[in-house]
Amino acid sequence: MDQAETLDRAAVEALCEAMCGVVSGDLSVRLRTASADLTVQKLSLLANFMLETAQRAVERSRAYAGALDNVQRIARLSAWQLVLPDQEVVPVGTAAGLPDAAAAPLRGTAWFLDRVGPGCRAAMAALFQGDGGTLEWLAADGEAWFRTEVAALRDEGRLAGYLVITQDISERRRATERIRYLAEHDPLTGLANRRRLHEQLEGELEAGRRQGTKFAVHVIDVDRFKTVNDLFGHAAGDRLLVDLAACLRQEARESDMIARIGGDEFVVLQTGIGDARDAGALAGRLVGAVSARLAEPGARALAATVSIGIALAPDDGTTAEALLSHADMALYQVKSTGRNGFAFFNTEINEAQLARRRMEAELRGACERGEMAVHYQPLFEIASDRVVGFEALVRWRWNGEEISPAVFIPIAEESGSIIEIGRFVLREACREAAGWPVKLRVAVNISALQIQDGGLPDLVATVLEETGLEAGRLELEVTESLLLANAEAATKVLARIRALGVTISLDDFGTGYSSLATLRMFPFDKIKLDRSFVNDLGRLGEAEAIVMAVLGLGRALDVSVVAEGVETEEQAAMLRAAGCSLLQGYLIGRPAPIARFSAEVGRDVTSRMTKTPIPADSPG
Amino acid sequence: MLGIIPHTIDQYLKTRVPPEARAGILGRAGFPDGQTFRLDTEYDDESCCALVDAIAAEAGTTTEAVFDEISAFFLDWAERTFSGFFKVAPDTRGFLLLQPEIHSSLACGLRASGQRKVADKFRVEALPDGVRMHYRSSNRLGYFYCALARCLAARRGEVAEISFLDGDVGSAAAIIEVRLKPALAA
Repeated sequence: MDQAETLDRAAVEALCEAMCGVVSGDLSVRLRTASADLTVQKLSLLANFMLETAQRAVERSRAYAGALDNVQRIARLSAWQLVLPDQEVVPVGTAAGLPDAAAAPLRGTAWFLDRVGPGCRAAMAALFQGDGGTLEWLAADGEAWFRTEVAALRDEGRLAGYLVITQDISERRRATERIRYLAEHDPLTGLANRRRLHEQLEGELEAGRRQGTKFAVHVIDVDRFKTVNDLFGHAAGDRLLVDLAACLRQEARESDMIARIGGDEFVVLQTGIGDARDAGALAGRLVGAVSARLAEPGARALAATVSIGIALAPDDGTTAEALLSHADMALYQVKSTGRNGFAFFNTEINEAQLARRRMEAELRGACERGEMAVHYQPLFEIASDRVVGFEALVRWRWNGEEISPAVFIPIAEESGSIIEIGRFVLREACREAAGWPVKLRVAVNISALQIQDGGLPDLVATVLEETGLEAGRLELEVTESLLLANAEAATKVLARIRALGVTISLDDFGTGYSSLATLRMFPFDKIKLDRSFVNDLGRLGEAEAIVMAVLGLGRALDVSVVAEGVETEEQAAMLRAAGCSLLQGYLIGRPAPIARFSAEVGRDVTSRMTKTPIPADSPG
Repeated sequence: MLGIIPHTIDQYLKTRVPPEARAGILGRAGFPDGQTFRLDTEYDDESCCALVDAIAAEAGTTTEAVFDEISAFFLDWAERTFSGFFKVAPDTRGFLLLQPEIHSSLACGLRASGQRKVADKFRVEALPDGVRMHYRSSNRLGYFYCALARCLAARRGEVAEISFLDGDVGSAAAIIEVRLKPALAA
């Protein structure tokens, strides 16, 4: 210290004596001295400093231990030590997970192994034989899952015991199982999804290779499901799918997997079949059960039927993809031949499908290659006794053969080529009509895809400008189903086109689902009565009544009505008598290149009048 | 306040001014004639600050100048008396990081268990090249802390660059950043 003074030894001794009191473990004691000796004061100050530092360290340790207890509790951890060689069990922290205190000290691991499910018990016991390890195990009661880590404790190289840390992982396991379930199941129906189906298919194929077993893949599709959604909304569609799933569960065996692999596409994997008859029996049962159950008056959803395509393994395919693809082809076969039934895959189907796919590919670019042509069918006005316009109809000549529109138009619709074809027909028809000396009207059919594409109003405006055709001479024909698919969007698009001066007519009227509702959706300029009613005129009384009703409707709405499919003079006479103003059909003229109608369009000045097939003396 | 502060100031007076001047300063600060300061005792904060104010008044200077003068004397004394605290810290930054713990443990060590909990005057954060000190005391001795840091750095061949992120040398609460550089690089 600062001054050289004699040390106050008595005071130092007093401090030393007080320091000995710490032996009791009480670190809160403080040393006091009255000595004026600065060295003694310093000694007292630093002794208290040490006591304070030690006390803080103890307090920190206690805080850490408390925090550790919380960590153990929150993480559902328990810890204990097995001390060798006495096998004494010593808790670590307050959450050691030991049995309630017993009279005798707890020893060994038997009490712990009793908690482990029988399937994991031997593996757990083995962890206490060597250097330890980790094990996830199911509790003996089968309710909870745990993860235990056993670590060997060594003292100078000698095994001194084990530190055993166990965590309750039940929630994690449940979450994992839930995630796996969601990854493998369809949330709407609870059935297996496509991924799970593929796994199962691979497994069955492998089993088949090893054991020679056979199985059937049934691809099931709801007939006209899109119509259900369009007419009744997606909620009704979902209810139908749920009901269908329940129906399939009821009919299939427990061992058969049922999966939903798409919107309305289901698969039943029928295992252990003897031959095709087993698959046919199930498919027949499924078709029957679905139509019976979903047609019940009390059924929550709509009456519905299904079509089923069946592929047999291994005969029809040795991969999951091939089997599903072939079952799909068989399904298509059912769909194209009436629905509400089932069919097996066969090579003929395969060839038909391949031909269809070739056609799909050929349709792309057919317009550019000059394979498409526009033919014109005349429209006859009774009052003026002359042709007043033409409907433009596309024709496809492929490989030197005329392909029926009934064949290629649906394929073009499905593949999207209809947009390119529609654009071609519109442009070609307008270009042609613009060149006619007689200003007749031209009608062009519009597909749903063209409406959905969104660019139709701009396309119409551009084509009219390019070709110079007056907008009032162009007429676009739309079907009811096109409007029903997306009524709001479709009517907006049509309104934009109508605003250009183009007229809009409703095609195939009477064949849809809610004709009167459709008429309210949009202010059509013309209604085209479907050919089926005209065809039945004179044969079925109801047909005449319907024709009369539609003509009356047209008059009431101040909308002209065109009768399509007029093929006989008798039909024409009846329509004229009924007050129909416009006729179209083979009687008036078949669709043909415009050159056939030179007179009608004013190019042949020697004959400006058309043939007039309507009997002048018809009743009425 | 720890007794070592007024004790050192008193030692400073004893070595720098005549006894009568010392007595005058003590009296001006409110201490009785013959007052001594023990190392192992706490003293009233305000009285100790009054002692510095009295020295400044007697010398006709500022309290800052007094702290600058005292800080060198204080460090001389502290390094002799508690050399162990300085040996465990290899450099200024190391010591400044330990300083709050030393201060707190010395202060609390003087108190009975029921009075141990005191508001921490110092809370330190390590910076790569220094420390960030959160100082909180009604004694407003932030300047003394800065003076001691500068002085200690100079003794270790370093330069302490001090800035206030919050408050100033006279604030009851301040955030002080001390950044240290080798003297040659400064």
